[in-house]
Amino acid sequence: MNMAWFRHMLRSVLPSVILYGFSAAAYGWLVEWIYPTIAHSKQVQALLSQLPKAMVSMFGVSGGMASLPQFFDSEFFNLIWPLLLAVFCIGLTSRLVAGFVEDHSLANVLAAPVSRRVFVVTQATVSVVALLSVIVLTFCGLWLGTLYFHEAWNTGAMNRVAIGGAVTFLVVSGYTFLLSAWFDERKRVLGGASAVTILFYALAAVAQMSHKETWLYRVTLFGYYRPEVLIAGRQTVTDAGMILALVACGLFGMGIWRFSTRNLSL
Amino acid sequence: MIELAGLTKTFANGRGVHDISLKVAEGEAVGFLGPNGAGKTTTIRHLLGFLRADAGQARIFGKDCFLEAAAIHRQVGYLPGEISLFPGMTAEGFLQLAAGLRGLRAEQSLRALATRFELDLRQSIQKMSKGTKQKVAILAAFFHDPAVYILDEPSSGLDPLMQHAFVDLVQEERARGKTVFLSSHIFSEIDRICDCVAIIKDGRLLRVAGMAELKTGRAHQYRVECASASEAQAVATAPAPGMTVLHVEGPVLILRVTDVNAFLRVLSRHDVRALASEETQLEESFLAYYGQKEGAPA
Repeated sequence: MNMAWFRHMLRSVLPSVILYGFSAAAYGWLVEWIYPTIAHSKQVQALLSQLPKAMVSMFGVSGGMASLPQFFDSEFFNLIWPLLLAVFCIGLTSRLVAGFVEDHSLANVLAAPVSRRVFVVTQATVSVVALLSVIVLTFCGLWLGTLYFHEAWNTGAMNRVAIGGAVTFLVVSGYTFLLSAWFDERKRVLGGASAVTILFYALAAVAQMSHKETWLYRVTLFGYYRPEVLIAGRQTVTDAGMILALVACGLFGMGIWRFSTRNLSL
Repeated sequence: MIELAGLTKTFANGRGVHDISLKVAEGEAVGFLGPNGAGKTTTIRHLLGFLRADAGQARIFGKDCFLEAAAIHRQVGYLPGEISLFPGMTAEGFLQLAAGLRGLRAEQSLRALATRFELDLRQSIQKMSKGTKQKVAILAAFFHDPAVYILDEPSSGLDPLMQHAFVDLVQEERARGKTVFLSSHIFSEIDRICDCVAIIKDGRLLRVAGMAELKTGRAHQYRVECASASEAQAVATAPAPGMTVLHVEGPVLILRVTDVNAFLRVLSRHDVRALASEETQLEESFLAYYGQKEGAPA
């Protein structure tokens, strides 16, 4: 890893990290703010009980809204947060390699005594550090929110969701990184990574709605990231989480290998 | 110092470079000439290790340009043909980053070069003109005092004054024993900097020749002033082998001559007031060479 380049990259991605981290935290604060009015509303509970089970399951409120983590599950972790993280991972990681090849500015780096492997390992590290920073910022914001609104903080549940989200979106960053190392044009990377992510999400949504199609959880990345299951503690982070972390490492490794051996039109 | 040995790269569209062999000795300066799409940039990309050859090798300091690129680049200054700097930085920030990538602190040499090229280091890259970006790229290529320079269209975008300053800088580096590999369309630039020229067309190296050889190996050009316009016309219409009339204006003729003896015999029969040899410009030699069929003798 080249430290001068790493520092430069961290400085350049910092605004995005802060924007996404604080946006997620701010949305979380909004959820925490409205939680008491929703949680204790009999009308809302009655409305939920009348909704079809598939729809309740789809929006991640099958666990109910009795606790703040469960409410977070339905209002934040199930849709907004994965969407934010997917946009962040794909947008950033596609720029980290293909963006520099596309605009030819990579020549400035590779003309220095910086090998391709050093460059691409640095970019992979930036991708991982940036994602983890967004997640840490988000959860720090949520925790501060619970202090401010005098709500209980379920450390175990929140840690499981944070780790589940981290390993899941490390895989998203991993395949985006592989595509970014493969193609010269960033738009191809954005298109490919977005298509794969949407497909995974759609499969998870179908599995969530239909009890007959739960096997789909086994073929989609989002089969592991199920906030209601993680919050309820019905799934530990060690088993599938380790596998996803290894998959992410494999994808980053393939990206590093691909970039180190390919032709570059700089 | 720089060696291309049977370098071959064929792209999907059939273009590329084919069996390029060329040696540049230490302290030598070679101009790389060719029209657009001839293979100049492809050759330079191999020297920088951006492309892997299908066959043959590109070596600098005896090291493989693809496999040992980082080690080679420690002593190479590269000026790309297409300048793309990192936006959102000042010139100073960019150049400090370039120094940081090399593990160097080179504030003194950067400031000296900036003064020489009249570059305001506080200027934002986003607000720079093409010429100013070119100056930043020149500083990035020269500040670390490398042993080899690979320069791709180095002064395109610079105004004539800065082109002059750039050529002076390269000449100074040459005087210090640096090796230069220069791709350019500006013939006067190659003429002033290089010892020899490699001409490439359709991905094949047509000729490598010394500058003097390239200029003198071809036709000589003469300016003849006759006693009168009718005398000039008589010279112009006189049958002489190897003599081509380029221009006639009143009593003055410009001719290209390959057989000097025959030319002098023609002149001896006419009333000639003055005869001057005009230096053959590199551009003329180059264009004349390109007018020939590939593989034909120069």
